[in-house]
Amino acid sequence: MKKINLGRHAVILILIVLWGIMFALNESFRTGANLGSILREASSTGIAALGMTFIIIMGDFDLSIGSMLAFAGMIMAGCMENMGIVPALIMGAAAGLVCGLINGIIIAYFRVPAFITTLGTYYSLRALAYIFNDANTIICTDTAFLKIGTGSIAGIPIPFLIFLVLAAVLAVILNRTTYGRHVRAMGNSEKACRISGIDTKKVKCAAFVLMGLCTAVSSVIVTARQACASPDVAANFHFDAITMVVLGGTKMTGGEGSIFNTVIAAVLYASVSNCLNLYHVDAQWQRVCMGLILLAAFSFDFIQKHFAGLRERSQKKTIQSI
Amino acid sequence: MGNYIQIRDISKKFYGVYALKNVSFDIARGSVHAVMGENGAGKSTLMKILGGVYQADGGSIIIDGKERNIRSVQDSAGCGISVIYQEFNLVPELTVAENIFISDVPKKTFLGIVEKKKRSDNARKILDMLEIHVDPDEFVKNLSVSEKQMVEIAKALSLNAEIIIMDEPTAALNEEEVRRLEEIVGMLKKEGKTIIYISHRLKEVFDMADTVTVLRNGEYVDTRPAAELTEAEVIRLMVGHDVVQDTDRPVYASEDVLLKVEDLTLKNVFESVSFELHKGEILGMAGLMGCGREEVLSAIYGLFGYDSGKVFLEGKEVRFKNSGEAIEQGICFLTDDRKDAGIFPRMSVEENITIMSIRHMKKKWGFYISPSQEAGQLKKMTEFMNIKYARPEQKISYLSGGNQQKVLLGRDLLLDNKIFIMLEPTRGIDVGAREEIYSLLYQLARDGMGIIAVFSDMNELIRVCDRAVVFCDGRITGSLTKEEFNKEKILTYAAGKGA
Amino acid sequence: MKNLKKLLAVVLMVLLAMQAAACGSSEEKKETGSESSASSNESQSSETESSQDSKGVIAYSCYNMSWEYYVTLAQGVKEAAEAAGYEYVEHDQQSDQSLMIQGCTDLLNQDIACLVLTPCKPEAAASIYELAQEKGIPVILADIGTEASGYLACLKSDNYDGGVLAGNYVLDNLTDAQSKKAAMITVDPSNTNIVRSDGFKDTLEAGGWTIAAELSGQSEPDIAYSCMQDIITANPDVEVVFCSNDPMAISASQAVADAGLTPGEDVKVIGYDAQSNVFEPIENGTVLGTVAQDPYGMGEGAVDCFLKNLNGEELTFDDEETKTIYTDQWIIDAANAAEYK
Repeated sequence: MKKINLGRHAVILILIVLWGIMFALNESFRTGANLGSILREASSTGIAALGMTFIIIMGDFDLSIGSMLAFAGMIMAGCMENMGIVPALIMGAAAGLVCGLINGIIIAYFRVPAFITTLGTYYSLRALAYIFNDANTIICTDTAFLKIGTGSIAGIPIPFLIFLVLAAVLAVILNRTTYGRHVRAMGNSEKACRISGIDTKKVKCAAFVLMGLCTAVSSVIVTARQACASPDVAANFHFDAITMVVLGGTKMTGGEGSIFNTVIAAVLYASVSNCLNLYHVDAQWQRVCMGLILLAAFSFDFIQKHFAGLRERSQKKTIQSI
Repeated sequence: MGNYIQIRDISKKFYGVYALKNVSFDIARGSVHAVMGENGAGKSTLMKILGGVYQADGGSIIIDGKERNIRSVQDSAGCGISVIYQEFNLVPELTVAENIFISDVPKKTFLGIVEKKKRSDNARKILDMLEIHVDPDEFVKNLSVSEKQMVEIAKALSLNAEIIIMDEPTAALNEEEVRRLEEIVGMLKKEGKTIIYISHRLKEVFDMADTVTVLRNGEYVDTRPAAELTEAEVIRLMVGHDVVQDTDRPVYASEDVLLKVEDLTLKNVFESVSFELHKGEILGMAGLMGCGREEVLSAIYGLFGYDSGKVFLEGKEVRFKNSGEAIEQGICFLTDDRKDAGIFPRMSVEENITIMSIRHMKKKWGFYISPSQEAGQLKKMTEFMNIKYARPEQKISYLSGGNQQKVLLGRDLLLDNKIFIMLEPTRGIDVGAREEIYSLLYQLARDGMGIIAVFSDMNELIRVCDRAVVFCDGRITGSLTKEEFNKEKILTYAAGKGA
Repeated sequence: MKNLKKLLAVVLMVLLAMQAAACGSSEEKKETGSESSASSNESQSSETESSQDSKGVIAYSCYNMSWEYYVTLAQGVKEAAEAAGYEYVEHDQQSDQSLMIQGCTDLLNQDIACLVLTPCKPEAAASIYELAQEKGIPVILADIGTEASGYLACLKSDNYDGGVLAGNYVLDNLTDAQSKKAAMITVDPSNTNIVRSDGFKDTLEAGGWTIAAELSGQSEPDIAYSCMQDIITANPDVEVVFCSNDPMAISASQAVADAGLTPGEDVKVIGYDAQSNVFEPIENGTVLGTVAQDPYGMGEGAVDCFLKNLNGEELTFDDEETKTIYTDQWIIDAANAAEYK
């Protein structure tokens, strides 16, 4: 049965159709500047969504990434004033790594559910971001740094290039390394992992560290794009990232998912919000629309599962009748 | 009365493939009617059509002279049918009593609260009738597999159905419980209920069934009175050819001690367990449910700890803190809970078989698992064990139980193992694959591996193992050599009377 | 498989239908470009689009449209834009800086004629100015100014001046004051509106009054309430309390009443912003008055600046360096409350 699995490719089909229609209808949409802006928007949240793909494949999720982003951004911007760009980037990454490690250790080694742990760090990291500079915004002026957020190479926004490179690296990790295999195995059956000699705690902890690093990269892009780090940035960040992952067909139940589809879903998500902006859809209606997309993504998951179930039974029969 | 239930030309296709093709036969009222066939023969599909889970593509079902249109589980219940499925349909977060009465909640009080006590009492009545020693207020998630199976049976009986379908009810039960179930079936038959019974275990079928219908590859083969059939004949009808039974195989056990366990104790679970495993030996572990043998083996494997005692691997004392360490030392472990703790259901066949060996695989650039190497490992195992699947990328959950089990065994075989711990290696597997797994065990033994196998089915244990230790209440109560094997003796030890 | 395809089609249809419905009337509007309006610096858009009835689009990107103050401001932009023959579109930042950047970028990419902006995070707006300059679209700030340059003009209230206004009102009207003691409930020190109380303080002190207490109500009415309680306890003879916004003023007045004193008699409270719910307390005397800002005027003024610039007129700034134009402020008290209500 060499049929194209529609469910798996649904996101890219929707994206192609949406872009096709918008190309035909709206001349503002098809300008290079607008397309660039879509890709730029897709990248900042999309990078965190890559890490979130790992977490959700593992069967967990992370609510704290918005706060983590704000915190890492504040640390980075604070260091940039005194130390220069490279140490600041390292400090930002270190902040993300440490935050992820804290989440990971609490979840994996103290067995606190991810929901509770990350809800806790969601509040505390946000508060730390406020405390760091007395709730004040830190302005970044280093032009080389700002280029990371606003620049383009050969017409392609730099954030999107970073996004693609990271996506490629993470896709390889997920699909073709022992660690990636273990992450997926965890989402399938933790019990089976334990019997197979997989160090489940280490795998889990590492995934949250990876999430932290992805968030730190997102933080670099957001901070560079806004030319400042403020403690109240990215309030709905976790929501957006999770939506992208689910829209990309990764199952909330864990076990399977695709980095490629997350990338496409990030672009789709940014495209939809761009379209709504182009048609000046009222803010409240935009929210309704985003809510519907999330619902659609979730029910899509469900519907796919339903169809997969039917397919599974038929395949089972096929095999057994060989 | 010979045609209480008439199944006429039932067909069911899944995406163009026939799972059932024009199946017709009759079932007499008040009889125990066994439906047999290998996995994939269409038994379960047929039962699911009767149970309203699937709808037939063609054909009709006539019950008591009336044609019935069964389109849903409710329709089926309306026809007086109750089904005990192979997969459990219990809600783990509810208690036993709540599960038993999940579809018909006892009357509500004026406060609108279900009378909890009454429900527990009713549940206890049913459980007592079946002699199931389970607390009705216990949560189902805390039950063992066989206890769950008994609860499933209790649940079906609580509905007071006229027609009871049992889809492999004994797959997870031990000898004692199977006997109990046979009594229950006899009792139900006396009450005039009609029972459709599906099982792989020939012995039970001959003990209980009045009539046997055999299906093969979705097609009807034959229906005959059980009294006219022999076991060999049924197997021949099911498989389409004769199965060679190996009775006298050489024993490969040597004098070299591979694994020695001394006074292993975990408080309230097992006590002073000592045994030896030799090279090339297949050591059976017998005992009733909850006798502690699985726990002892899990403790040796490092899945959980023990309070005292020593484990020697080839003369060196070892104590594994986790399964990873045990695997490093060449010990592997095959679970009896294949569905939940064995397979990675949403991963491919290939990824499932290599999940343990990828760690030792040589990788490109130090991290990249080369697809060709992985495919090579799968190919090797596929050929070695005759695993059937459509594509390497196919999800393992689409495979039959036997093929899934082979993949799990293949996982271990890809490593350099010395000791195989296997819990119920043939559970939920059809006759053909079962034979293949037996011969695999013999082959491993011949190659000098040590095998510890847990079998609930005493016949299997006697047939396959070289030696057996019998557990009762966390202690070893007896040890038998192949020459001493007999069922009565094992059962006596298992009941704790031999020690 | 078939059903899945169907479902896919339905989802898409819904998505697109929603967009079509939501923009509805603006469908043909957005097609209209900004040709005629296009000033010399808008070369990119002029060639593609043309229109008879509209000169282009003036967009307003708002801090948060759920606040009454900004709805009024938007009204000002809208009416002025339409009077001048421009289309009006608006965008709501919902107080989120990421949405601000995203929304403004999308607006600028549509080659609008002018962007009126109230940045929710002024520091983060730099990339918007950059893109606007690249595209030659003028940006006019309304209500909130920024440090960065790149905008055409900034219209806002002089908050210090508003404080002075309130101070002078006290000096003029409370000539029979006994203790000449005043107190202030201010916003957070990091808030730019902190200068409101500074203006009030400087004026009163120059007029011979003393500021007995200065507490931060952090813009929150409930914090202001407890501040007021503390002020009364420590300085029972305080006569005037200045609050940096109206909700705090209403709350403070309540605290005065709850302490057994008569608001408006024993302690007089002055607010700021002239929000709609402050009129009733002003009319019944529990709040003395409030400093009114002119959001509508800001909106109108912003469009006016754009038009002037288009015609090549020089803009006159109150503050050349920050290109700031201050809009009117006045006191609303019991005498004129009915007029502005």
